Amino acid sequence: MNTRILYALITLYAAFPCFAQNSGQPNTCINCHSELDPPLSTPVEQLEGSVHSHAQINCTGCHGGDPNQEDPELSMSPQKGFIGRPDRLQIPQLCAKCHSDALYMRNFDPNISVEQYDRYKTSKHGELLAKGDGNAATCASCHGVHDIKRTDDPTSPVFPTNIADLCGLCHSDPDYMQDYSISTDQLTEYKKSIHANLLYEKGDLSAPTCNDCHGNHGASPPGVMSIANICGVCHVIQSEYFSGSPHKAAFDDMGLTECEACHGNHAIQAADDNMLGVAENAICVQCHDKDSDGYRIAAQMRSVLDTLVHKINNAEIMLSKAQRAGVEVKDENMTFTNANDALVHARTQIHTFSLDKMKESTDAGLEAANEALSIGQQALKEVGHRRQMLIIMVVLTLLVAVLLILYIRASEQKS
Amino acid sequence: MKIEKFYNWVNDRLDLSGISNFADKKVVPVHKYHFWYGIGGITLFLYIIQVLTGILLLLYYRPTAENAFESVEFIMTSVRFGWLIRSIHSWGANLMIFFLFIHMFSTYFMKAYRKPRELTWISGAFLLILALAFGFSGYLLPWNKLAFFATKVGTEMAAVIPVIGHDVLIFLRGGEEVTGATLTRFFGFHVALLPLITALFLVIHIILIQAQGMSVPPSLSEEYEKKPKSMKFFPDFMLRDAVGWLLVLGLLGILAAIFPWELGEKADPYASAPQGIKPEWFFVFLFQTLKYIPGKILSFSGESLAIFAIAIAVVLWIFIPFLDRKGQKNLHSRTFTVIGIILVLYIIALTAISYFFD
Repeated sequence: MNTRILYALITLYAAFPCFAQNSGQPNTCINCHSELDPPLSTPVEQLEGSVHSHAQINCTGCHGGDPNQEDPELSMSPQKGFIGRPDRLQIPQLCAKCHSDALYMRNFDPNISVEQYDRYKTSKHGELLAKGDGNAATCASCHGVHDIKRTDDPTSPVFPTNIADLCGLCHSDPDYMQDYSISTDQLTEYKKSIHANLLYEKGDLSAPTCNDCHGNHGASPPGVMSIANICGVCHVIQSEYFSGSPHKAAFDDMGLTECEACHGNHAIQAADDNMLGVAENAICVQCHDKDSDGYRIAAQMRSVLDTLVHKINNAEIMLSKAQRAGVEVKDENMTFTNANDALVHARTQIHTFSLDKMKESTDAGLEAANEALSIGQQALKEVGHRRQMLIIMVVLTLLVAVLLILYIRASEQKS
Repeated sequence: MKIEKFYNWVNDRLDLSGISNFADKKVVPVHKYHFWYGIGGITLFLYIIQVLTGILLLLYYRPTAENAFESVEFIMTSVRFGWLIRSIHSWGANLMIFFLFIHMFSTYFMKAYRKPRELTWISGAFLLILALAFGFSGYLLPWNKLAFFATKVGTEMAAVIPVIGHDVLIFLRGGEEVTGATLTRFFGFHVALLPLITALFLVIHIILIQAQGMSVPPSLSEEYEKKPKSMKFFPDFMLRDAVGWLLVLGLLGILAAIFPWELGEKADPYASAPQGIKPEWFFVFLFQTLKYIPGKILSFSGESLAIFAIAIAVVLWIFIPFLDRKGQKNLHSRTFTVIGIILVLYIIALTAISYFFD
C-alpha cells in the first residue's frame, strides 16, 4: 500500500514539475547562476521579487532538473527532467501545467481562474501559435519570463495602465505586424480617446484598455455583431436602448458595426451633443437624407436637447450669482441637480432614437430647470432686499455718529 | 427726570457716590496721539458683539461632525437674519483681531507699558493670545473643507514641540487625526473655556486701565507736564468712543452685506487637501516664516527650532516692560521703537508675500 502511495507521488512529481517547490534545501541553480556573467545570471536577479519566487516555485518548476545536485551534469540532466530553455511554441502548455490545475492553484488563491490556456487557444495569438507562428504572443510575451508580477502590481506589464503600451510593443511595430495585414495605429488612436483620458489622466483603473474590449487571454477582434454587447458591459443602458431601437435591425441589415458606426473604436471621444442633429458635422446626416423621417426626427431631438441645455445653463448662472452674493442655495441646487440628471437621462435616451421617449426626460428636466431658475431669481431678489436693508441701517448708524460728532463739537465750544 | 428718579432709587440702595465721584474725576490726557486711546474701546465693543452674536448662533449650532456644517447651513438659509448674524460674527472676529493688533502696536509705540502699567501690558498680551485662540478654534466650527485642512495644518505644528509635541497634538485633536472629537473640543474651548479665561483677563485689564489712567508717551511727557490738557472720561471721552463704535458697526454692516461670509463645502476627511491651503490671515506671517526655514539646521529639525524661536519671541514680547530699561526710567527708547517698526513691517511683508506672490 505504502509503495503504491510512493509510486503515485513520484508520478505526480514528474507530471507536474511545478510541485518542485523550494524546500529550504540548497538550490544549486541559484548558487551557480548567480556567480555566472549575464545573461546567465540575469534570471536569478529577475526571479527575486517575482510572484513565483514569493510562492516558492523555483527554477525546476519550469526548467526541470535537480537543484539538490552539486554537479551541473547531474542537476541539468535530461534524466532529471531538465528541458533547458523552453521551446517558445510550448510555453502556453508549460504554464498551463500549473495554471490550468484548479486543485493546485487553489493553494495560492481560492478564487483564481484556471481557464487562461483554454481561452488562449481560442485567441488570435493562440491560433497563430498553433499554426507554428513563433511571432505570436505567448504567456511570456505579456507577463514576462523570470520577473513575472501579480496582475494587480502597478509595475506588472499587465497592470491596467501598462497594458496599452504592452500591446503596442508588437501592434504598433509596422515591421513586426507586416505579415498580418492589420493597421498599427491602434495605440496612437487609443491614447487620444476618452477611455485613455480616464485611465491615465483621471487615474480611473476601471476605464477600458485593450484587453477590456478584446479580451486578454482570448484576445481577438470583436465581431460586427458582438460590438454592442462588448460596449454594453459598461454602457448597459445605452446598449439596451439601442437594441430596442429601430436602428438595431437597420444596422444589422446594412452590416454596420453598431456603437462603432457612430462613436468610432480606438480613438473614441466623449459623446457630444453635436453628434446629434442635422448640422454638417452631425452623425445622423451621414445616413439620413434631407427629406427623410430620420432627418426630421434627428433635427427635433437636437432642438429639444438644446432647449434643455440652454435652460440649465441659465439656471446655473442665476444660482451661482446668488451663491456668490452670499445666499445659500442648497435646496435650489437639489432642483438643479434634478434638471442635470434629466439631461443625462435624455442624452442616454438618444440611443432609443425616439423623440417621444427622449421628451419624457427633457420635459422633466425643463420643469426642474425652470424651477431652479425661478428660485435663483428669487434668491437674487433677496440679495437686493438684504443690501437695501443694510444700507439703510448703515446710513442710520452713520447719521447717529455724525450727530454725536456735532454734539461733541457744540459741547466743546460751550466749555 | 425719570432717569434722575431711577438713579436716586438705586443710589438709596447701593450708594453709587464712589462710582459717580470716580467718573467725575477721571480724565483722559489730550495730546497729538490721544486718538489711539480709543482703539482699545473699539476692540472691547467688537468683543461684546462677538459674545452677543455667538450666543445667537449657539441657539442653532450643533457641534458634531455629522451636523455642524448642516446646522450652519440651516442658520444661513432658514433662520431669520441667521445669515446676517453669522456674517457679523465672522467679520467681527477678524475686525476684533485686526483692532487688537493696532491697539497692541499703538500701546507699544507710545510706550504705555512703562511702570506702573507692566501688568496692563501683560494682561493685554494674554488677551491677544486668547483672541488668536478664539480665532483658531472658531474657524473649525462650520466644519467646512478649508477650515478642516487649515486646522489639520495648524495642529500639526504643535507636534514639532520637543518632548510634549505629540501629547499636545493629541490633546488638541482628541486623537491622532482631526475628527468629530476635535470639533467637539474646539467648540468647548470656543464657547466655554476661552470666554471664561478672557472674561477674567478682561476684568483685570479694564480695572488696571481705570485705576492707572491713560499713559502719556515719554516723548510728550515733558511738554505735557508743562502744559497739561485733558478731557473728562465721562461723558467727553465716552462720546468720542461711541462715535468710533458706531463707525465700526457701520463698517461691519457694510462688510456683512457686500461680502457675506461664505460657508464653502462640507469637510471631507478622506478628500485630498485643496491647493494653496493657508491659515487665517493673522497666522499667515508665522506660516510663511516656517516656509522659509530649512528642513535641517545643524542636526536639529528646522521647523522645531523655528517654533521654539517664535515661542521665545512671544515670551520676550510679553515681558517687554521689563526689557525696556529706558522705558522704566520714563525715557524714550529708540531701539525698542526700531524693533517695533521692524516687526510691523515683517508682519505686513510676509502676509503680503503669502497672499500676492506665493
